[in-house]
Amino acid sequence: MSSVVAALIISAPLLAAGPLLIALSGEVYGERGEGARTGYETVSPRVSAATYRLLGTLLTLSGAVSALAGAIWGVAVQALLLPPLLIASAVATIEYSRRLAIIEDLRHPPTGDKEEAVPTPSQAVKTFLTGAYAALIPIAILASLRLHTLGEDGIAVSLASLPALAGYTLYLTLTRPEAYAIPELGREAIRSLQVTIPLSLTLITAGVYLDIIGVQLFWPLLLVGLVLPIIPLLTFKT
Amino acid sequence: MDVADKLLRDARRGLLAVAVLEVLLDEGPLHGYGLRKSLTIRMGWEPPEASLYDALKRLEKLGLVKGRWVRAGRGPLRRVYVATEEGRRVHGKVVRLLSSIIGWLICREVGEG
Repeated sequence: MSSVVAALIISAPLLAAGPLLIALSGEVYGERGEGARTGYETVSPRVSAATYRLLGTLLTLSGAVSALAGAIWGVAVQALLLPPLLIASAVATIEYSRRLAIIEDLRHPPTGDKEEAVPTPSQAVKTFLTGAYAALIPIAILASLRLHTLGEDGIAVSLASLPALAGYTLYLTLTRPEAYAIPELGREAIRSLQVTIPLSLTLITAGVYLDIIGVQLFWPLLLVGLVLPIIPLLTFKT
Repeated sequence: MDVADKLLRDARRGLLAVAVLEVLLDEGPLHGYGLRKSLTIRMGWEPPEASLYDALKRLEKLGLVKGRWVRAGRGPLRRVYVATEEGRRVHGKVVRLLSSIIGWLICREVGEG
């Protein structure tokens, strides 16, 4: 199989999802009443459609750029490139939808219904998560020191993508907790996911790093990391 | 856009931020819509939504205004803004400085007229 075909297969999900999202934005725009969710709970169809279009465009571009990089420099480079491209696309979309949602909010008078503050994680949880993330730094340094003896692409991808994903979800929890909103889930479950997802990814990252540097007891961390996000889904009513 | 337009645009941007602080300090927590309406009444012109968004974003980033999402009924989330203590302190300082500059400019115009 040529490197071009391999590169196209790896980027295929993005190349398919991007145009699909752009095409779907027309459907979203056509809905009346409540809009879809963009990460900021219910917003108007106009904001949803614009967000879909932007995300679709960014994913298509990310797919094309990563496929091109894969065809030229190989799939390892492509795999390293994908996480930052996806994260950049997600951050750009969330910031853009936030801007649109706030601007739209300026146009509509309040309904007069009883208001309730949208909860955000408490300071203690934020401090704990930040501490847990910072605790990874020495492990990351140790793992990096051994990188020259590890030639496998998979390890390099893990080293690059796992902390990036953990950092990204931590960024969401600390600055954009509303981004976890999922229509099918209850408030308690969403609140719990805001904490457990970054924590889970942090534990998985720590587990992988410990494995790379040769610490045998890495698997309890991986196990807890994998199970943790499931708990709120089972505990709280949807 | 010439230099004068750029200067005026910057001044308008800064003044809008001060006006937002003024309204929030005077009227207390407000929804974005209420804030826009109040600004329109007080200033005599309706600030464009994008400009108001930029002003609010800047004020929030500087810690002078705090915005939070609230849920009301089954509709979309709404955003409520409130001036912080730091906002009150900075507002007083800025208004004193602006007043002296504007007062001086008016005196000069009147003197020349």
